[in-house]
Amino acid sequence: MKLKNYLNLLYPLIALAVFFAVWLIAAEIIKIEVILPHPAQAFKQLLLLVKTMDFWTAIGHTLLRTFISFFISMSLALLLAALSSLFKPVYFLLSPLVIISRAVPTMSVILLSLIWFTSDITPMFIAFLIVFPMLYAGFYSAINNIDKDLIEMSKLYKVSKRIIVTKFYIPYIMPSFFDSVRSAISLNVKLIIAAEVLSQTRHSMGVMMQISKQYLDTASLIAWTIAAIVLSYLLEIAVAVLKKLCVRWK
Amino acid sequence: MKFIDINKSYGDIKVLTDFNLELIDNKINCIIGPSGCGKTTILNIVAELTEYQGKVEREQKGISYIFQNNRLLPNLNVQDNLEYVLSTIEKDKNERMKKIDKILDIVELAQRRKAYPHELSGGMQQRVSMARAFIYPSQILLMDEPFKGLDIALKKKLIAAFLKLWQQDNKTVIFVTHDVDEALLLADKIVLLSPNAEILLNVDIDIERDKRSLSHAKISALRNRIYQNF
Repeated sequence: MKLKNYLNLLYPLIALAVFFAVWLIAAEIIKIEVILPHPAQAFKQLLLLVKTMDFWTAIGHTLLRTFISFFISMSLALLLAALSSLFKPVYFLLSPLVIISRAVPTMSVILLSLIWFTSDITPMFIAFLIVFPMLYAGFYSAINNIDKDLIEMSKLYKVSKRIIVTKFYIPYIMPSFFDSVRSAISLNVKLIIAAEVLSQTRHSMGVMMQISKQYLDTASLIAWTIAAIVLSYLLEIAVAVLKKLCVRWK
Repeated sequence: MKFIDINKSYGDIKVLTDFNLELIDNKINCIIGPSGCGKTTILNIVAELTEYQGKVEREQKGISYIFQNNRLLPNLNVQDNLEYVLSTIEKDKNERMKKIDKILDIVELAQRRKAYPHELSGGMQQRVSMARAFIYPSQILLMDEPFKGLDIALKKKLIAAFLKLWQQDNKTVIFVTHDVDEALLLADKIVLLSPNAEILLNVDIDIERDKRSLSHAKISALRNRIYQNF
């Protein structure tokens, strides 16, 4: 293994070690478990949780909500970004909607969607409202940043539209597509969990965190937080692996 | 090929004003001149990549272009870059592969057919761009300073590959360059443009290419004439 690879591995480990050291020192100083439990206690609690069916049910449902909302956001963003690039009126029509959905306060959307939808739908709706404009902007700029010289070259050699799209456009925007997806997927998890807390969604990580908080079980709350971090991280890794498989030319 | 009363502006800047020129079909026509005199614009007018006023009369069809910045698709390897321009016109995959094999042998890139452009040197990328221009069934070839920035050995190699390919089908070549010596050794016709695209010299060279050298009396005299006007 090269030195660079060692360093790539070493730096995150150092950062983690510093984080746990600070946590440990803070817990030792505070000495009140309800406010800040020991790291060991939080991990012990996590191990206990992992052995329960409720843990996996909550994770499974939260993950399912993440996938559904993300799939809808991604498909719609991709479709509308392509349409906006091809037809400028679509872009102008969508611009104010995207600006509004970016600017609208998350809390008011949550409260409104609590009135409009069931607690199962609310987290997905909120995640969609925030993630969709992000993905749309990313995909739109990826499509519009396609090298104009290469488009010109394709036209000069009279390459058919079908081949231009399949052999050039799609593979060309793939890296930017995966980069946008990677940064949006973990945000999607966070949004789903936050909305689950507020809408008291059954079978969810959010509601389990809320229960831990009500019982002042801070170690459990932190254990759930660690689980959420691991979940986001695994999803990001999955996207990175997919990118590596699909984009072999970078 | 004839350029008749061509006018072209970029905003307020006039690049070509009532530009008239006749080039020789199936020969290497070389346009030389200082930067910004409109050489690339002339190529883009032939390729219909830019709008203009006037008329370009040409009987020949199909255009290939060796761009200054090679314009290879970064997501396709060498073989696929060549297949990209062929697949619309040549439906038979086996035929496409035969043509690709042949041209890669000529440009000495058969071993690197699976390499992506970023894995190739500048000279190799330019050879792929050249192979792409010759594999495409065209009667006109536009070349925008294809040998610029290459070291002498590489330039020699690339020029040799170019001549080998050109002799197979004698496309009408319009070759734009700054390099007077390059033009003298390659061209059948040399057109020298002034900074505002006036034709200062328009000379046909009837010396066989393999007998040319910079010390050849006629070439040397022409060289002096060009430098006096440059």
